[in-house]
This record gives sequence, structure tokens and C-alpha cells, in this order.
Amino acid sequence: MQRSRALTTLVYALIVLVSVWSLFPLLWGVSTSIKVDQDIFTSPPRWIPQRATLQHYYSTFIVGQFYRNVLNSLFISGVATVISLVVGVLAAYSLARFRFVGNSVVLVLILASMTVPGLTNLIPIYVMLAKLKLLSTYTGLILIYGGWGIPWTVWIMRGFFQSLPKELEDAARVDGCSRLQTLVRIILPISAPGIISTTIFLFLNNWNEYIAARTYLQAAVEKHTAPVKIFFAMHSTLTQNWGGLNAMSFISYLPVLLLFSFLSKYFIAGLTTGSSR
Amino acid sequence: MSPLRYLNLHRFQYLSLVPALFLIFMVSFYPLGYTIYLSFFEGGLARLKYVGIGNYAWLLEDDFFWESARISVVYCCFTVGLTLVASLGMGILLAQPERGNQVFKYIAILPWIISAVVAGILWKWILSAEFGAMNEALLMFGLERVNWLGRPNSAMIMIIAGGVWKTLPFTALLFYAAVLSLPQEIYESALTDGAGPLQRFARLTLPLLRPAILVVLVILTINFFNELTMPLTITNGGPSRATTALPLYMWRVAFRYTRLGLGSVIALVLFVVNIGLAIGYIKLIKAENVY
Repeated sequence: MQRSRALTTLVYALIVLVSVWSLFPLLWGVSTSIKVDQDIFTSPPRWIPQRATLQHYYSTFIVGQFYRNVLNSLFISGVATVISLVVGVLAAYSLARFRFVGNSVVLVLILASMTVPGLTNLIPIYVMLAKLKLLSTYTGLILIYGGWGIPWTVWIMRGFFQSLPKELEDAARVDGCSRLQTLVRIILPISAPGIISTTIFLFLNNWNEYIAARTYLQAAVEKHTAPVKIFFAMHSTLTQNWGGLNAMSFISYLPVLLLFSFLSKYFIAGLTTGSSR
Repeated sequence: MSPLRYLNLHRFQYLSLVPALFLIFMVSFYPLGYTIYLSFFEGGLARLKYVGIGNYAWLLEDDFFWESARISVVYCCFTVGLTLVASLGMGILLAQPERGNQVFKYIAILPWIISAVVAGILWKWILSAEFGAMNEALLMFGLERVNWLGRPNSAMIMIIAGGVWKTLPFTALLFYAAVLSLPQEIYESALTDGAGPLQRFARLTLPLLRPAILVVLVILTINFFNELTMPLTITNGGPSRATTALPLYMWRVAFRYTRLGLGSVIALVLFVVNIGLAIGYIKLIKAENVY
């Protein structure tokens, strides 16, 4: 399509404008995190750090033991993602492949559960966890995250399984594979793209979650996830240590950024799946 | 075939569904019912006391509840409206064939993949009255510092701006996908008929994107109506209560004032409004399709 020069210029101008709008808060945060305090708290500001330092990273990640919170996040998000995947993929496979009594009812139930917002259930789940003695435990939060991820897994993977040719399984069955063996040996390996997208989607949700982690981990400070720690680091002091806060923030989204850089195709597929509900 | 034989024949199918159904039931349907049950009780974990419809009666008279509801409506209207318009524009922009658009797509998505707490921290730092980037920029242009988060109206504007910043990439991606799927032939014939870019947008793109616009509207409304973390991080609901919307009020009532029952009533209000909005939109979408 031919375009006028004016239109092309406008498009480029808008691209630059939106890029600045999206990037500035992030870059400003990173820039702050590697400045010495005198350069952070100064007017006019130093937009580009002149004396770069990793002191804020050292004092929060190592001395302030933020690495513990990152490990907590990694553990909780990781295990919860695995639970959602295993349980969800199993259900998705049955729902995609077999016709049996109750099939469609189950599917409707699973999808209907996605319409109940997590916020509505924040209080009752708190009471439930308290009764099960699971407040302030890893197990409690992992089970909740794991459960929340299942409908999404079923939704994404069921569609994926349906798109695979049925002949593959028939051949495996003839060769004497059980249903489970067929799923694990034949179907899962060729479903890698769908599994990767789902994993990213689930892990990202868990990794970034704040309010349930804060409510259910409560006073167990040593179990706090990265977002909870960052939040408390900000509200616990009167004068804010912006260098440290920005360093912790950057550390907390660095893994996501790396993942995104290498797997952006799956990432975008995973991100947009939420749309089709 | 007897039911038992049927079950045995489809053993794998049924067994594979049990864990999923159990966990989903435990984190969504059971708690929903339990919310209703809890709404008739009062107090904290240690001593829940039955109070009948006391919580409902209290909430109707509660000025803070109505004030939070008003704040929710203001917050939702502006965030949803602004994000909808901006992400439609951004989606079209992403679909342009210009060079460098791949890099642009990568950059534009970043706000969506970071956590709401981090997004909140970044905004709070920019808006900080002393040494914040916003005020420093104002000073450079010879203007005065503003205490952005210390005044009710500007604090509200800033949590709205922060919400738009964070959510924009997501819905822009949805529009981007929708724009790519539009039939190209129509555009080519419109071009040969001599339609300008504005005409093509108003007469073709906008009507063709109607279904996508409605879907995004649903997603955005429900997203912002339940938004808690980012306002909490940026303003902590303040100054005084100026940015305490319903989700934050619910959290405070339940966990700060330890009134789990009253919090449950607010949770039910949130749920009913959510469902109401969703049904309303679905009806709208159906009506559109008939037309």
C-alpha cells in the first residue's frame, strides 16, 4: 500500500511517543537504582547516572536478604504452576478427546468458575485456610494459586489438543499404550508450544500476584514473596529509600524480562489467551 | 449398559477430571457460597458471631461504603474510557507495516508484564513531591512543584494514569490481533475509490472492530472494577479516603477492622455488579450481532 509522507511521519512520531510513555517509568527506575544517594536526592535531577553503583542491589538483595523473597516467589509460583499444569492438562485432554456423559456440563462448570473474580473469594478463602491451619504456610498459597490456574490451563490446552490429528493416538493405542501413556509419550511432546504459552501465562500471574500473598502469608515475614516484601519495604519507613526500592523492583521483574526476550512469541500468545474467555 | 459398566469403560475420562474439579470447586464455587454464609456473621477469625442481616443493614447506612462506591465509579469510568480509546489507537499503530515495529511491540508490552506493586512503585517515585521526575520536569519549565499524591483530585488522576499505563499494552495487543484479521480486500477497494485515511478509519475499521471493542470493554471494566494493588501501592487509599475504591474498602474492613462478615457483604456487592456488567455487555454483543 502506498502511503503519503505525512502519514508515515505521523506513524513514526506516534511510535516514538508511545515508546517513551511505556519506557520512561522503567528506565527512570533502573537509572535511580544504580545512582548513589546524593545523585538520587538532588535537584535538578541527574537523568543519566554519573557515578554508577551497585550499592543498592547489594544492600537490598544480599544484606536485606531480598534474595529470600525472590526464592520464595520462585518456589511458590513454580510449584503452583506445575500443579495447575498437571491437573489442568489431564482434564483438558479428556474434555478435548472423549465424548462421555457429563462432558459438556464439566466444561461449562470449569469455564463458569473463571467468572468468579479472585477478589470476591479473598475473605472466605482466608477463613477456609485458617480452619485448615494453612494460613502463613507455603502450602496454602500454592494450593490457591494452583487452583486459580486450572481453568485457564483447561481453556488453553483443550483448544490446543483439539487441533491435533486424532490418528496419532489411534496408532499409539493399537501399539498397546494406555490412555495415560498416550498422553505423556505422544501428545505432550507435540504440544510443547501450547504448554510453553500456558506455563508462561500461569507463572507470570503467580509471580506478580500481591494481594492473596499478602493476606494469606500474613505475619510469616520469612515466607513473603517478592511483591509483598517490596510493598512492605515502601510502607515501613517514613523517608523512602528510592534507590533500594527501585533496585528490588528491577530484580523482581528481571527474570520476567529475560523470559520475555527469549520467548516473546509464546509470551504474546500466552498473554492474549485471556481475551477469548 | 449399566451405569457401573459405563463408568468402568470411561474410567480414565472420569478419573482425569476429579483433581481439576475438586481444586476448582475449592477455590471458586465453595468460597462463593461461603461468602454468602459469612455475610451473616460478624467479628474476626477467633469469634464469629451470627448477626442475621445486620451487616447488610449496616452497609446501607455506611457513608464510607457509598463514598467508596462513588470513587469506584469515577475510577472505572475514566480508566476504562481512556484505556479503550488509547489501546484502539495503539493496536492500529502496532499493525502498521513501518520498519522497527517489532521492537516497538516489544517495548510497548513491558508495562503489562511487571507486577502491579512494581508499577505502583515506579509511579510513586515519579510523582514524589521531592526529587520526583514529574516535579523536576515542571521546575525545568519554570513551574512550581505540585504535591501530586497529597491532594484528592490529583491523586485520583494519577492512579487513573497509572492504571492506564499498566493495562494499555494488553488491550492494545487484542486490538492489534483484531486489526490484523480484518479483510484486506475491502481496504484495497476503498483505496481505489479514493477514501482517505480518516474515512477508512471511520467507515471501515471502526464498524468492523465493533465486536472486538465490546470484548475489550468487558475485560477492562471487570479488570478496573476489581483493581486493588496499584492504587494501594501508589496512594494507599489516600489522601484521607479520596482514592479508596470498593476493593480496597473491602480489604480494609475485613483485615484491618477485622469485620469479616461486613467485608463479605462488600465482596458480594462486587460480585453482583461484576456479573451484572458481564451480562449487560453480553446482551449488547448479541444485539449487535442481530443488527
